[in-house]
Amino acid sequence: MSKRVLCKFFAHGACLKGEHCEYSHDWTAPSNNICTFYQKGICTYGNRCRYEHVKASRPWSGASSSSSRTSSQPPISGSLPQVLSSRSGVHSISNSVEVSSRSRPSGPRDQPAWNRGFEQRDYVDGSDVIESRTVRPADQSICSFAAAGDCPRGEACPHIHGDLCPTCGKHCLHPFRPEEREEHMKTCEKKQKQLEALKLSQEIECSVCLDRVLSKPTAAERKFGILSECDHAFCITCIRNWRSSSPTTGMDVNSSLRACPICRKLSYFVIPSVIWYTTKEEKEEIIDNYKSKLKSIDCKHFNFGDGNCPFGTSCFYKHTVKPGSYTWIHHRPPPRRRRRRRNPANMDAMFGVFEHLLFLESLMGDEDLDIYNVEDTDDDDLTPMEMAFLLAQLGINSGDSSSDRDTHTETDSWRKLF
Amino acid sequence: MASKRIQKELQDLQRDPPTSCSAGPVGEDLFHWQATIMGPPDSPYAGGVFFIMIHFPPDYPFKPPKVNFQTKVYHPNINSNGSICLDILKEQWSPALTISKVLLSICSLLTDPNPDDPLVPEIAHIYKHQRNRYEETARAWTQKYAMG
Repeated sequence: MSKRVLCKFFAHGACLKGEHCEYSHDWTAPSNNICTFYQKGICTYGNRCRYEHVKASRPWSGASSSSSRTSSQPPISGSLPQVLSSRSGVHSISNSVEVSSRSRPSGPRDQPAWNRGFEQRDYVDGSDVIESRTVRPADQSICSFAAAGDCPRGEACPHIHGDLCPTCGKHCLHPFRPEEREEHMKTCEKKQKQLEALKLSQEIECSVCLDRVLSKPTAAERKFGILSECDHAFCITCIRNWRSSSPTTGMDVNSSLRACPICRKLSYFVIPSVIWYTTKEEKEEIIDNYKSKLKSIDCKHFNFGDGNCPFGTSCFYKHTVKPGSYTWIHHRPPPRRRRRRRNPANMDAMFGVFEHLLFLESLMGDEDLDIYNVEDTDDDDLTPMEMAFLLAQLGINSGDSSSDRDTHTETDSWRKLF
Repeated sequence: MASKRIQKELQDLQRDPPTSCSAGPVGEDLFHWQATIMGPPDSPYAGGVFFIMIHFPPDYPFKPPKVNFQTKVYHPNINSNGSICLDILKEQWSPALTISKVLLSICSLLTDPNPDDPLVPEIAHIYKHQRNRYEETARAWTQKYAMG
């Protein structure tokens, strides 16, 4: 409707829509405090009504004008005394309502609402009370029926009909509010794009289970697992299952499990997404959103400064240092409990250990050996292994060689096991 | 997961059967299939019909199916037990592969043996150095075991 009308809920300090509210959250905006029951002639509160008793004739901006013979009146407020003094009784009120809705379609002044221009006329009872006033066109709200798609009153509608939005095909663009128009066009185009992407996504099949990803029975399964390095589509569950499956003898983890099942291109991590992308930019947006989401989750390994995260500053999760924690006091993470030297170049052995553990994990169920899921939400997808790959790729070694941390995790989990 | 995927593959095979091969379950067991391959026309196996046994592991497609020849074949990469030396059935397996793709790969293996990674070194040696003798023997075996 209108940003110019003070939001009732906001006035009571309880508007849940915040900045998306269609009404104004500016205290200086006039409140739309008109009693709709009175306008229909049936307000039972009478004088005690806490809403203004203003006669109906126009959209609210002109509500006060129907009964006032003076044109110098302010648009909305202050009309009550005149209304009551000039005319009283149900008869005249209903009359004016009828006139406003009935008389317009016929006669020489039958003009489409949106062509009526800036001069507003009111016809009450007869022809002698014709008065004209000017209302700023930007202050008028557009017809909500037309904006929603179809106005049953058509050309006879007393409200301005908005211009046609080329994207959504509705008459919802306010002719005199350029910012509002632009905002609508922007959000509308974005929505349309999303809708199209979703439509396209519906058709996409997972190459592992051969099902349509978005037709899976449970909501958790209806997600794509996007590979960072190629554009082949899989369900998140299928690709995760494949990447965490135990390698067959002779299988190289890098060239098989970490690779795309179709093009065999190596990807370091999988991004869950409810929508498939068509352009590179869209993919980047999905990845960026995912990473920023992970960045808002506290790292379980780092444990607010009391733990030692194997990924150091390259961790995808948030490292919050709590006052009083080990890192806070000593300015470095706590030492690891046990160390064993290993050839840092022996990456295959390191991943062998991980795969083995993952296999054990899958045998035992998630609860017993949950060393990989940093968070238990299904979106958190980076296993330490994947991050280790990433680190290795980036050439970052956070102090100790990467194989150290595997030995560490290995011993930890074995301790857990037995 | 496994049975659903196998069911889907079966439907796809029935809807759009590949040329020169066919496959389907043996009896009620969905995890146990039999397939036939027609010997490729441009190979010494032309005219033969080769039977193949397929066993799906319970964690299919994350593990490769076990594929064996039931018909005797004279080939550097197929031994007397019917075992096939094919990378995609072992370390190069991918869950995006299907039985139809595997059978197609076996077809091309019949046309183009890989003597550098042999399962039967003797045949590989003959294939490399006495191509005519290899083709003769392969044709003879096809005649004997894969026809009629």
